[in-house]
Amino acid sequence: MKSVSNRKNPLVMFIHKLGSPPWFYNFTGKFVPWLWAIFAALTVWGLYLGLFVAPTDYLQGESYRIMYIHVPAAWLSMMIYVLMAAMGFIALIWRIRTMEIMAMNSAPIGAAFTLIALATGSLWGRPTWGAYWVWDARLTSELVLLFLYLGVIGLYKAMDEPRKAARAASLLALVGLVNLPIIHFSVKWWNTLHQGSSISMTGSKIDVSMLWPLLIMAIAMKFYYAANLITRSRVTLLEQDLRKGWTRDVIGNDTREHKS
Amino acid sequence: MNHAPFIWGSYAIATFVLLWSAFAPLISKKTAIKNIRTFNQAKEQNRDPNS
Repeated sequence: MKSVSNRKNPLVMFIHKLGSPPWFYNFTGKFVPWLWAIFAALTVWGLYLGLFVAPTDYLQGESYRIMYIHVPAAWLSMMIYVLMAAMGFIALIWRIRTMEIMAMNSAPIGAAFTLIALATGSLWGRPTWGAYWVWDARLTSELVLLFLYLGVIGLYKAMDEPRKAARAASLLALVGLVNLPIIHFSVKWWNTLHQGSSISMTGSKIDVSMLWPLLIMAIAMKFYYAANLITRSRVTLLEQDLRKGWTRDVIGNDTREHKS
Repeated sequence: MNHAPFIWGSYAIATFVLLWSAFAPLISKKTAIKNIRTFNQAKEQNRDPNS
């Protein structure tokens, strides 16, 4: 009786359906253009407020405007890692292939955001600290995060069988989770050149006029991640299921959509 | 110190990386679609007794 009621549970049914590649491909395909559109609109709005409306900082001058790309990228670099490890964990336990694919496709996006956080941080560091790079705990642990992402990507690409590769890389992602509290608390645990958190659960030290563009950009980047992840995962499904009938059907549909 | 090169440099790097990350899967999609079509055409030809 219990198993029958579980099968009828809408959430269980939804998760069950997500495990089906054709259903996943068709269902997520409806959202992708909207996710990209919301990302683009929020980015334009956030950048306009951040670069042209927000006032100049009394201490850092104009260079603080790098914050509107640096901070969202740094947040995303950690958030994506947590999601990648969580999806990897689900894939390891329940062997859901779409979860494996989403976990593995999170890695290059996370690596891109980590690279942006490091590069923009470096460019912000020069006018603020007088150096592009210092072996500070926050910067070093963020660099380790980039290496972890590259490790996950490398391990996944190194093996011929994608499902085995995804499981091995998921395990590595789970081990690498230990780096996240180090990144987050590095500014508290060590005497770092990098400033402490300006935004916490209890409040913000940033003026509202400067805070809003930051929050808008942070939300925009989350939409970018969602759109990019779904786009990449759909492509991976096509690549892996090349010989399966459903791919021929969806290619036919895609072609008709392009023609209409 | 003029901060403009640092600010615009940051946004240029971010734009390049985000665009590359967004467009890379579209290139892969084209290749995947081409491979699926090639595979299905080969399959159809093998099925056709006149070929």
